[in-house]
Amino acid sequence: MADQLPTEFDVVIIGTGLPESILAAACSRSGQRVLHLDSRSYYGGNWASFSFSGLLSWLKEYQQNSAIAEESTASWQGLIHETEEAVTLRKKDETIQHTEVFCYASQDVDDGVDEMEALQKSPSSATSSTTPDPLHSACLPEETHSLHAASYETPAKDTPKSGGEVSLEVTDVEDTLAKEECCGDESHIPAVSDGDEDGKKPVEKDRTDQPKRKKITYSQIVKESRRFNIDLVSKLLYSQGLLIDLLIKSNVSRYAEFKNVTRILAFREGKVEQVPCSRADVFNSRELTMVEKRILMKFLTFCLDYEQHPDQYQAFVQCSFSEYLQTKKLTPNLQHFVLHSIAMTESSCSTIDGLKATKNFLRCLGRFGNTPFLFPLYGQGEIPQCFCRMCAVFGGIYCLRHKVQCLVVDKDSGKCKAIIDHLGQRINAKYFIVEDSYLSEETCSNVQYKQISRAVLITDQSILKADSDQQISILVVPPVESGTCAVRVTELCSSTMTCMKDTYLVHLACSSSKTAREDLESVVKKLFTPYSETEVDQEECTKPRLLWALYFNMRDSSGISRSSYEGLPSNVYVCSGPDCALGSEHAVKQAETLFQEMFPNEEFCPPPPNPEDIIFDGDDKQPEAPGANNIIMAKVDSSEGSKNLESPEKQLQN
Amino acid sequence: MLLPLLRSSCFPSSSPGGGGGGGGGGVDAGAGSPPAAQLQRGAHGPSGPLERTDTQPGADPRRAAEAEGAPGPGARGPGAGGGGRRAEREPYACMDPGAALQRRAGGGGGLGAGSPALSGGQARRRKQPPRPADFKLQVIIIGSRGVGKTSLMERFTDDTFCEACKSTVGVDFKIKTVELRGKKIRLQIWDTAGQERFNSITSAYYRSAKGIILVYDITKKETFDDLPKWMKMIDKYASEDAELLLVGNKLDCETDREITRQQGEKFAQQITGMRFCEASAKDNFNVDEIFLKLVDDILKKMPLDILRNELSNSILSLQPEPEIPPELPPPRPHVRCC
Repeated sequence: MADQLPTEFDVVIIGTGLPESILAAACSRSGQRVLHLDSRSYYGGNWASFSFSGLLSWLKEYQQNSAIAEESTASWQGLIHETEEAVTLRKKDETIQHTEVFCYASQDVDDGVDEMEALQKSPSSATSSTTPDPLHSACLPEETHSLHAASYETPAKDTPKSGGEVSLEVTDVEDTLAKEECCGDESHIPAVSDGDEDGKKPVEKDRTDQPKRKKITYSQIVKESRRFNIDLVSKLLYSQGLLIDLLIKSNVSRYAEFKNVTRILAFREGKVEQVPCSRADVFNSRELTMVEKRILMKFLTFCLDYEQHPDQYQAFVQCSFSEYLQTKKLTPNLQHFVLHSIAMTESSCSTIDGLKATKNFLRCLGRFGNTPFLFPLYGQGEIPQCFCRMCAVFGGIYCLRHKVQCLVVDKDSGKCKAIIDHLGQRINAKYFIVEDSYLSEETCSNVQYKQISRAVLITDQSILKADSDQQISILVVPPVESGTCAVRVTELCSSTMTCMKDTYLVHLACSSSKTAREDLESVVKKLFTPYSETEVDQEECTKPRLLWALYFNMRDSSGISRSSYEGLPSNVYVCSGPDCALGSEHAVKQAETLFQEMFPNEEFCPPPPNPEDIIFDGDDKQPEAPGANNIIMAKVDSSEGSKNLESPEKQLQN
Repeated sequence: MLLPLLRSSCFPSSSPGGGGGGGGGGVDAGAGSPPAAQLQRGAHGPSGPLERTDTQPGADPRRAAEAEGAPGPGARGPGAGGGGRRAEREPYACMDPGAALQRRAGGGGGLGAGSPALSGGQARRRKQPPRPADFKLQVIIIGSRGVGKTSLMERFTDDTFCEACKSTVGVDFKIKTVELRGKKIRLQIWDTAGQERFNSITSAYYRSAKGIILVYDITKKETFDDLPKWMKMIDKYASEDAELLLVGNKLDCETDREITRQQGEKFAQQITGMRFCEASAKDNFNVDEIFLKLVDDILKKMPLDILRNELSNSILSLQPEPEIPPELPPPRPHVRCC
């Protein structure tokens, strides 16, 4: 009983990433009829987040050679008039490359967990049912397909089950995946092109006594798959940033919840330490001397309104920020803190940019908590969904799993009139928004893409132990060699609802120089040690242990000028995928800019009017929106456990 | 003549605990009734007692829902009480508070239709502002298109039913405060915003739901056949602790029934902890019971300490809860209804 898609809209949007979703909400909110499509079965595109098994499924898509039979699509030729021509869209996504998975956790099968039983005891399990029931789908959803064992970049080897493994009757897809994924580790060293075996010991079968420390096995991770919400992007929200402001202004924030990032960290001289950035932090710091505290406070206070004191930096405008810092009587560790953990700029950035970035950080302090950052509960993948919901509430129509074959362009006017979907349905609209990854190779032939190197790690301890194990931390590791980039590390505790209890989810990101593993592995090794049976008994294991790691490169299509795309009709707009920055300013700016190009007289995501102010005029159902009296300023109810709400100035002054 | 769609904006300055819909008094448990649920609908208008029946045996929400075959008091008499008015109502008719109150006074005279759980003869006039809610609970409603999800919700929160409104456009969530087990609970009921139409409900929708109401239409077999698909989504995205409730809606269309009660019961039995009942949003039968039962189940299972702990788990909402439910204006005319 598939419902028929309407065929007339004002705006068609292809892709449910963040900029597209913000645009969708804005268009729908301003009264446009919006059709929002995504070829995937999930929201978010490259901004999405996945359960653990969902992530493995996602990986499969990029690891298999495109030997998958192309889905047959209905012919569109007959739907195009003589006066029209087609601009085809891309059939297969190619924004992800160089995926590599390393599993260090024990994949022991007789570790006491009866996987079959565990997987069947889903929340909706029958208590007494013996017959297989289609309801019981605690395991993988439809995105699971046939099992190719390819976890590694190199072509899939056969992954025979090694001798010692108990052969369970595997009827469960998820279960099988678990075995296949880690089998490779035992019989094959994870594939590295030059055969380097750095630190990746094959995991041995556990025939020894139970270790003293709690062991986390791969099968546990798989079992707890739904506890993981692993983002493809690595971002945070600046408390005074464009995204937070937009979320609040539009009321979309009510669809999500957030947690404060609790710590800003630095990596200096081989150690991880906490960076004091608020007034309280500075004064309470046990690492800084009194003199340092005074100097730091003075400097940060200056940064907060540096423009008012040009004499303090004017002479150094031509220098780099790091050179400038050396002149400011800051001790080396303070310089490190400011450069890498507060300003978070590259060393080569100019003095002005450095001051700007420092100020940007500081002014975010205290709005919601002690650090400038928030993190959404359940991960960044929630945010595009929140905007999509707002779009739907105002009438937007949503279709996942809906591919678009081509745009239909009128030869005379050069404008796009319609799309044709995979079912051969022609859908007309006035405006079209297409996310970059959907555009064909021809359209993008002139485009120079950057790449983002990413790593996702599951670990068993924090990189910096503290009284509470529920910390959300950000750490920037400066580049070791010139020419390489600083690496940003975000560590998430389980109460962010992104990983299972007793684990941490760690995201690494940097601008790509090479493959993700090449760019990031050295940092991973500095901070973590691979999980291995033999180390479990060592009590002095100081570094947290790495259970599982994924590396991948993601295309960075931000900052590409429209003119780089070939043959785009004037009413087709392009949204980019995620950028490498920590915040989401780019996505918000892009959405707002595009919206204003399309609808210059409309307000961008205004707050919905207060119901009391709606005036209904008898039979005329036209509501009159009230004046601008509905901007809800961010307030955090004290019962929600918010922290320090002092203004940044108060943070720094006496 | 007939009564306009009631919206919360009719009532000036809802109390903080106030939810959608009109005023409703309640009698506390001290009246000798079992811990019957009480509904509070925010500040009342100035005039008129808002009649509710005394709690009657068999009106206990638990029993009422289970025994909906047997007509308890306030069962679906046609036109009984405030809930009886239907189809003639216009969708977005005027917001005249006077008219709304009139309906209340007129309609509530007999048995509070479909609301035997509401106890107390006289409305309790509030002399001081009601205390704010103790807890907030999020409940979602899912199910195939057209089964009556929005109708059930609006019946509960606003005590309204709009036959003509087929589209869910403009409905985000509604709030209603209920008092159960001595606690004031602010119930936030989310609607799908129409995203189920093409199987595109976001995973985010399921996240914080403590209760999930899964609805099918007893007159449409396909909506029942869709249930496994919904269970799959629940398994995937919803909290394991979420209370589940299966509702066969449109009980008023008995003659067109395609799914028997037994079928519904059987389905629910296969799922641990899932309750089942049939209801009619149109006739206002079993609607209050559904929600109150669900809330009750949630509370029973969840010691109140946990709810409190959650609040202090340093989870931030960026905006305070709106006092008035965030009802969005109807879309502009050219946005067609489905």
